[in-house]
Amino acid sequence: MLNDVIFLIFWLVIAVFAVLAVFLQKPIYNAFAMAFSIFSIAGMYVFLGYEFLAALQVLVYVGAISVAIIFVIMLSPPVTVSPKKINPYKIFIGIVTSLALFILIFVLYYGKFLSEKINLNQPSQGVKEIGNLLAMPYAVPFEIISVILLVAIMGAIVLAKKEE
Amino acid sequence: MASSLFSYLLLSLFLVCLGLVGVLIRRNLVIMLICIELILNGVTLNLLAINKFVTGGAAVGQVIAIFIIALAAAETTIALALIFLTFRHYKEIDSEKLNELKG
Repeated sequence: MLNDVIFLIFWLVIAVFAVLAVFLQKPIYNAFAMAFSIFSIAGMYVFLGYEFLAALQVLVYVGAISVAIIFVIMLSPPVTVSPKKINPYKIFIGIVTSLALFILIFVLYYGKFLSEKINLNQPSQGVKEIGNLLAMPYAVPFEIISVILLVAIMGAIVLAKKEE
Repeated sequence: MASSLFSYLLLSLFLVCLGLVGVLIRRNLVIMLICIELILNGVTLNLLAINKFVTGGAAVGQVIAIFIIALAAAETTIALALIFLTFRHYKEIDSEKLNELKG
């Protein structure tokens, strides 16, 4: 019962802050709302029993990605996207596309998964199994991800460097 | 409620559709990047809920989620550098005014 109440609070916090992250007008507020929403998604991972992923989510998303976005917003001189020229055609297309996707997938889920239960008492596999998988069967993808991250860092530095 | 698969799937579907709306109707490049982050988080939550439901929380799904998070970090780095470069070059981050090849 208490579990359900806490779950509902997390659910609503994620949904409300995601809406704020999309529809607020100043980018810095959007960035903070996104950070809060993603922080609460880490709470969802704890509900599902993925403690390691929850810690990783907080470290990478809140600690690195949100800070990088806020950093870029603060480094830029103030710029205003003029709010007056709103294109109603574009807004119509966006809302219709997304609503169609929502209804389509919602109908699929509703028919299939409505009464399915997750066994939350059964513990998820922990850090040891993840380490075993990363060390041997998934070693090559792991190395490729490392190279991608290295190339991303170098690319970002090269792109953002001031020309002589 | 906390043990119902449908509530997790509904939340992730909501996040994906909300991010899609944001990418399509917002014009600020930074806010569009924030919306892409929301989409990636929704996808990861969906994957992990299904992983818990089908396999009871096997490590394979968690490994794939780690890959998604690492790729999201790389993507954000490059996108932020490009936005910064765009701003310095055009003095503008409105996506509707960036559709001309000004050189």
